[in-house]
This record gives sequence, structure tokens and C-alpha cells, in this order.
Amino acid sequence: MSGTAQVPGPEPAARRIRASAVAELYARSRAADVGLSQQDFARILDEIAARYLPAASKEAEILAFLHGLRLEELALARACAAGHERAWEVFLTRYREKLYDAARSITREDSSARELADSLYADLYGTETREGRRACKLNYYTGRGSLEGWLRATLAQEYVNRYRRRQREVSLEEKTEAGAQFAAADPAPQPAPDPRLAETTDAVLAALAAEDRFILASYYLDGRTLAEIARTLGVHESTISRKLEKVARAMQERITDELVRRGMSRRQAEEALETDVRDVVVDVTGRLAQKDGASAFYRKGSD
Amino acid sequence: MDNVPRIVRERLRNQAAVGEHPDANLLSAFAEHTLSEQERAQLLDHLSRCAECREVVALSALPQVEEERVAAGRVSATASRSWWRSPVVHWGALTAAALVVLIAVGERIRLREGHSASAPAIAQYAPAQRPEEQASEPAPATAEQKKSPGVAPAARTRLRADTVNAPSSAGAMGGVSGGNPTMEPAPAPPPAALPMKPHPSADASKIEGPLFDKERKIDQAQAKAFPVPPTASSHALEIVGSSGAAAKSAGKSQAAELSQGRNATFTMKERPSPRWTVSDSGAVERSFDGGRSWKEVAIADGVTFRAVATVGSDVWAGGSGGALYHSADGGGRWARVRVQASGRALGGDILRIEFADTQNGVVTTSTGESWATSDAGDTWHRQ
Repeated sequence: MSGTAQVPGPEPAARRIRASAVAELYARSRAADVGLSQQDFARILDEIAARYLPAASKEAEILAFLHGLRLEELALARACAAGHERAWEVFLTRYREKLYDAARSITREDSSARELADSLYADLYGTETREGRRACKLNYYTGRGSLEGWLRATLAQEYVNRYRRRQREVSLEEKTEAGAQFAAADPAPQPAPDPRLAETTDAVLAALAAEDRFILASYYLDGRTLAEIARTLGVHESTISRKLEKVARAMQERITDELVRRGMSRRQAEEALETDVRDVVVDVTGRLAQKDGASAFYRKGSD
Repeated sequence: MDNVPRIVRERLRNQAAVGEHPDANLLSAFAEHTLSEQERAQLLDHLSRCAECREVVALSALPQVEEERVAAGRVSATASRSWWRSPVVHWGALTAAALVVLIAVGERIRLREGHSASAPAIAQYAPAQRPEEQASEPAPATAEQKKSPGVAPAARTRLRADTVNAPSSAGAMGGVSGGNPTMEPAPAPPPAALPMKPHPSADASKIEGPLFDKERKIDQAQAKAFPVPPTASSHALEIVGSSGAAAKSAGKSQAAELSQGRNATFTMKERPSPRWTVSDSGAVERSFDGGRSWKEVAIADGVTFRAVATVGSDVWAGGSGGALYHSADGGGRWARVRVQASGRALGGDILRIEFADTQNGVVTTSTGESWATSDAGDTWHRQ
């Protein structure tokens, strides 16, 4: 008898739920229509449950999670990945045009959209082999959101990656030809702002709710409109508007209070927040540009 | 909106992203509001610190204007097929035919009898046939033409301008994909080039080839075999606020307007495209001035609405208790739609409604259920 006892790993999720429940999920998914067997489908459910749920999840939790998946779309995507012809026919009928529409809404230009969509399609189809197996991107779809939404997000990720790669490859000359202007080195280094200001701001930002920080970043950094942010978060525009005002005001108060606690007078703290030395520099730049009648410096945005 | 201090923007920008970038599954589920509270909070924490992932979320969301544009194209295509089925066109044509018969009969009587007593009667008709009045008050046939797809390009032009003026979804990327004023908004023909290798286990003759050239090769009937076949018992429609007779009388009144030379269709086309939203208190609201002012739209008492979606003139609103309402005329009249199949009804509150076109849509509920229709809400199946 061997001296080492093998410790069993966590039981696959599909085995922890009743067979009848697996059968019901399988029926709901219509996986049979696109060529997936119940055994294959149970294995896919196991893989997804293991990815998102704690190992000790109870049957009810697993079932609730699995019922929340886009089962039909999941079965379709995985059947495509497995190479079932019927699944591909359905996929192409349902998603080909949507894929192209999504690519065009991202690139806003037909030829780039076509290139982007074709590139993703090649990945979905699986043209590259990894360790002797065809790597099909549809194997990564887990049914958490709609298949169409996943395709759009995947396209957007690819687009952002391409943009980032291209930015790295563009030479200084190309940037200059494209109209980018580069500011000369600052002749007189500006005094650094009080380090307490940055530390305090970091602490106050870190203490914000994630959603509030997301709204701030989307509005002030990314330039999203209230309507766009509202759509992303699934709330009304006016809610975002009120929240922005409230968060901005509360932040200012908290930073001021914290700066006072760290030794500044209230007036100093308020001035540190209201007047940044770099704002003064920008104003001077603007005045020079007005005087010369032409823009002397390239300024992104209008901070 | 007031600005925040520069230091706040700077420190916000400099925050380090935490953890790995979320994959497309989580990002799309986030955009569709189907993540659990815990997952959503974790993802928001990452997004608040990661400009790249925020960009992906923003890019992957189909712009609302784009949705309307695509929908308008599809609806106008549908309209071109079914314009003759419109009750307005039917009644207008009947009225026009009746008028022609009346005039012809009157003329025939006048010619046959030839007495002077008929002259006043003819004189009564004469002013209505003066060219200048024909121009200002179009005949029913002209009204029908305006209703016909010939008007659609104008509507598309208006949406095209909206699309071009819409803020660039890639604004934070330095404008690399900003709006292109020369972009052709009408759905482009399928791209021709996509050299594809055959899948090892699929029939290459059917799968191989350009992605967008495949459309005409695929049997649509086969594709429709995949969703649940519609069943007559799986859906019940009831008119809200007006009975079937009332709906018919509305059709008659439209016909009467046409017979009087009033062009109701033209008046509707002149109105700006409305925007729809749901207020915090659960009321459906509509704006005709691009979102500057909103007015509540009365749909049903006792329902707290949570979601609204539009596809052209089709408006869908859903909310508490699985209540789902549909208006086919831009919010004029509403019908309650029962979402059920095989004796089982949708459970929970409707939190999200998505319609890719006038026929295909999905509603998602607070209990995590997703119900889909592929026939404009006539039948549903649970996904």
C-alpha cells in the first residue's frame, strides 16, 4: 500500500449539482441543436464555474450562477470553437453584420472597420495553432454577458491594443509631420507644489467609492458626457450630474480639512487647491499667444 | 459643470491600475449590468484607475445615435416592404378612390342631364381643383407618397448629421478615431476580402470565404430553425388605454385627416427625434430637445419603470413585476406585452431591454433571467 494518500481536488461544479439540473441547463442552451453533447456542455459549465465561483460554493449558488449565464449563446460560441458546421452557420447569420457594425462604430471608417472585423474573425475562427491545437478565441467566451457584447468588447480591446502598438512605432518625424508640436524645455523650473497636497489628494481619492472615482475619471479625464457615463452605469443623466457636483465639492472640503490637519492654515489650504502654480504658467502662455496673434505653444485640451 | 482642482485631475490620472486587466467577458457583462455587486465593485475599482479599460468599455458600447441610425435604416427597409399594409395608406387610398368615383359620377350626370342646375354643383368642386390649392393641400395620393420610403433618406440625413456631430468615442485616445464628416452612414455592402483557412472539422465549402460575403449563401430558414419556434399560446397582447375598436377609430380619424388634405405624416416627420430615459423615480420620460428638458410619458399606473429602449419609432419600456410595454408609434399608444412561454412567465423586474432591430430583442430581469424575441415581441423564449 502506498504511503502517500492522494488528496482529491475540488469536485467539478457540474457534479455538485443534480443531474436533472444539468439536463435542464443543457436543454435551455439548445446545445444539442448546434452539435454539443451534454457531456461537453457539462465540462464547459465546470470550467466557467471554477473560474468565477469559490471552490466551496454550494449547489444553490452554483445553480443560480449557471442560470444567469447566456446559455444559448455560450453553447453556440463553444460549438463554433469545436468546429461544428451548424453552429458556424448560425453564428455567421446572427453576428456577421453585427460584428461589422460594431467595428465601424469603433473605427468610424469603413476600411479600418473591415480590417478590424476580419482580424477578429480570423481569431474567432482559429487560424493560429498553439501546442498543436487550433486556438479559437470563441473558447474564451463564458456567457457572462451577451455574445454580441463580448464581440464588441473584444473588438474594442484589439483596437486599443493596435493603437497602443502603433503609437510605440510612430517616429518623432512622423508625429511632427502629423502636426504634433513639442514644447521646448521649461527654461525656469517651477517650484514644486507642496508635497502634502499630492499626498492628501491621493488619500482622499483612495477613500472615494469606486463608482465615484470612475465617474470623476470618465468626466474629467476621458471627457465623456453625462449621458455616456449614465448609460455605462445604467442610471439617469441627472444622477451623474448631481453625483459629480456632490463628489467634487466633498473632495475639495476633505482635502482642505486634511491639509489643515497637516499643519496648513485654512486659507493656505484653500489657496493651494484653488491656485496651482502651473495654472499661472498656462495663463501666461495664453497671454503670449494672444499678443503674437498666433498660437505659440501646442496645448492639448483647454485646462 | 464645475471643474475640480488641477491637482485632483493629476492625481486621478496618476493612479496605478490594480490587478490584471479584466477580460472581454467581464467588461461586456459590466456594460450590460449583469455582474454581481461584488464583481461590479471590483471592476469599477479597476476602471477608475485604468484609462485603457475605460476606453474599451466606452468603445464597445454602441453609441445611441448609431443605434438609432442603424435602426432607422432597418425600419425604412421594412417600411418599403410593408408600406401598403399601413392602415393610413389603406384608408387614404380608399378615400381617394371614393373621391374619384364621386367626381366621375357627378361629371357623368352633368354631361348626361346637361341642364343648368348642375352648374353650381360643379362650381363647388372647382375651387378644390385649383393648382395653387393642390400645391398647398396635397391630395391623398400625395400624402401616401410622403408616407412611402421616399421620405426615408431625409430622415437618414438628419441622423447622419447627428452621427457626425456626436462626440468622438475615442476622444481620450487623442482623437485618432474621431468623427469622419465624409463617412457614409448607410450600411455598407459586405466587405469582399477575408482570406480564411477552412476549419479542420467544418465543411470548407460552406464556412470558408469572406466573413461578409457569406450572407447570401446562408439559408435564412435554416438560421431561423435554431431559435424556439413561435407558438401561438406563448404570447398575449392587450391594448392599454384603448380597445381594439378605439385603435380602429384612430385609424379612421387618420384617414379622415388625409381625406381633408391634412398631412399628419408630414407633421410627424418634422418633429425632432425624441430621446427616452427612465427617471430615478421610475417614470419613462421623453425629450424632444436633445435632452435639455424631459417630459413624463404616461404608460401605466403602478409600474416602476427601470428600462427603456428604442428602435426607430418602436419604443419598449419595462420595469417592476415584469411589466413590459410596447409602442409602435413613438410613444403615442402603448400595449402591454406578456413575456411568457410554455405557461411560464418572466420573473422579477425588467432591468434591461435590448433590441438589435425591430424584430430581435432581449429583456433581462432582476432575477438574472433573459428572455428573447425574434418576432417583435409576439413570442418569447427564455435564454
